[in-house]
Amino acid sequence: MTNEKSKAVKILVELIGFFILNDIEQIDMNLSFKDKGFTVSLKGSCDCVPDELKKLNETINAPRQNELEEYYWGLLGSSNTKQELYLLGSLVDSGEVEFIDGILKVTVERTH
Amino acid sequence: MNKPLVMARSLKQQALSTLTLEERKGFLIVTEDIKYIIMIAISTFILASSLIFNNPYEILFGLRDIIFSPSVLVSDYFVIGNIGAALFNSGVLMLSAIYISYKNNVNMNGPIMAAVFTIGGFSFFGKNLLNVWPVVLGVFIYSLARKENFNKYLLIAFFGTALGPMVSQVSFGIGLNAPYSIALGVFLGVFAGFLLPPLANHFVSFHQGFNLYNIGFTCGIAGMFFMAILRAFNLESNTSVIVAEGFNSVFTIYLFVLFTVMLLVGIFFSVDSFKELGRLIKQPGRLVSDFVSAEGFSVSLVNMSLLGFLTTIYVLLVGGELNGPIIGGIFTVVGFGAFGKHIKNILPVLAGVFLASLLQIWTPTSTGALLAALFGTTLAPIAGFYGWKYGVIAGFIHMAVVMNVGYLHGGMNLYNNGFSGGFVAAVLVPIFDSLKSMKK
Repeated sequence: MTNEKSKAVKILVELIGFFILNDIEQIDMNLSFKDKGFTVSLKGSCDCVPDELKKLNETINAPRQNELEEYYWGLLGSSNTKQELYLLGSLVDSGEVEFIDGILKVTVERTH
Repeated sequence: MNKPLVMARSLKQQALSTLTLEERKGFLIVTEDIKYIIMIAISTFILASSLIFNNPYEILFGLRDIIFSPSVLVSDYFVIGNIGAALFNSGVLMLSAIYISYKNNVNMNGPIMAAVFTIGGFSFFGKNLLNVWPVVLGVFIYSLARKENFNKYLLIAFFGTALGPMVSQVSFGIGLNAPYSIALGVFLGVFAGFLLPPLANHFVSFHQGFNLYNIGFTCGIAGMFFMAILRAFNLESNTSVIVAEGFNSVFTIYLFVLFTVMLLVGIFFSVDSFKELGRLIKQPGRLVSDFVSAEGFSVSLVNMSLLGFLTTIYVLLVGGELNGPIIGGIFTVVGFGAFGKHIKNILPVLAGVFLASLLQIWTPTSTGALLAALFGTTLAPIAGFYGWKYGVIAGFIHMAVVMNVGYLHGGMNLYNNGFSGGFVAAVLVPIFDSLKSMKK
């Protein structure tokens, strides 16, 4: 598996962890690769507003930090803490968080 | 029906165009330029202060002695060269790291600040103007081979200079003829640098981010392999402890001046430093905890200065000596005040190491015990994440482990405590996780 595909898997696992921590038990996932990047999208129903949605949105839309990437991306998906969400934010270019009618949808995009 | 909650995706563009993260959070504006200027000012202070201790002629000859020394653990450049030369060496390497960061369009964030201070600190006892560059070059060549931007590997290059003594030891310490030995030392440094990026990323998951000096673990493994090969050819690394004594008064003043200025600058740029610090010390500090991006540059500077005061006072209270390695340790803790360490999470580890030095065979004032205390704070995230009692246990065990792993790499890896910390964290974290889950 290439480095970029490994990162896609790690990002997906990290977001799955976020959904599971918020007691979302049925998750629809989509991972699509493009010419110069990939998009990861997850969707699931949630009884109450998940914790720290604003923080998540801010994190995944924060500027990329290249210097963290090759050193630390291996930590993604290992424990689902705030530190890993921050790391996820430093690896993706942009993202979108939606919570409408009890459905949480998170999409992140990364180019390389 | 739940209230719709939809968030726009334009924040990224805003952040990139006009707003910094700190502005968005309502902090006083600390632009990247200001951060760079402050870091340059600190480095320049260290560089210029070399003239307080020695004249330029002495500094030049001191630098020559430093550069041609094997530099393995523990080589105090205050003794090998002189104090002025060691400060000059430190200041130049810090400024070089800042310049490289700037040229690679990297923000002055927590990990970069930690790296700059770590380079500065270890430039008092192991890193010098000659031995760091082959490792950096090796990482650079790796980035070229991967067709990736060097800034993705910058932290690995900076922290990877822990293997500088490998270059110096092979060049000047194992008895080979000079031109060939230098060529071999440089080649090994470049080769080691080329190997570091994949290893660093691989080993970070070994301790799950609970060992802040991850490169120390990586370089320890790499150094262990290189040393094993050298020993197979009957080439032994002669380690020794060379440390200066009798400079406590002058360096207490020196460090307190530096940390006071950092504290005042941090307070000047803070809105409410107490409140911001209160928020910062709630973070466990586990990798990746960039305090500068998450909490702000100013409060990070306050935190760094407080860590500087705390560690200096610890050394003085236990009766230790402020020499090159110890000041290097203090600088490293200060640097990681922007990247994972704060008073709340390092105190339990310090207490654990101190307790160990009372009960185990090492005295608290010995250089090894003091280095274990200062650099043992690599395990601060354990205290931050699991609680202070666990931090004390980690510190206690770290003391015993760190005294046993140096032989493996023959002193070629300067981050011996990071090497030990990797093992300690990898063993303790699953146990602590298990204990925590049983309590639940």
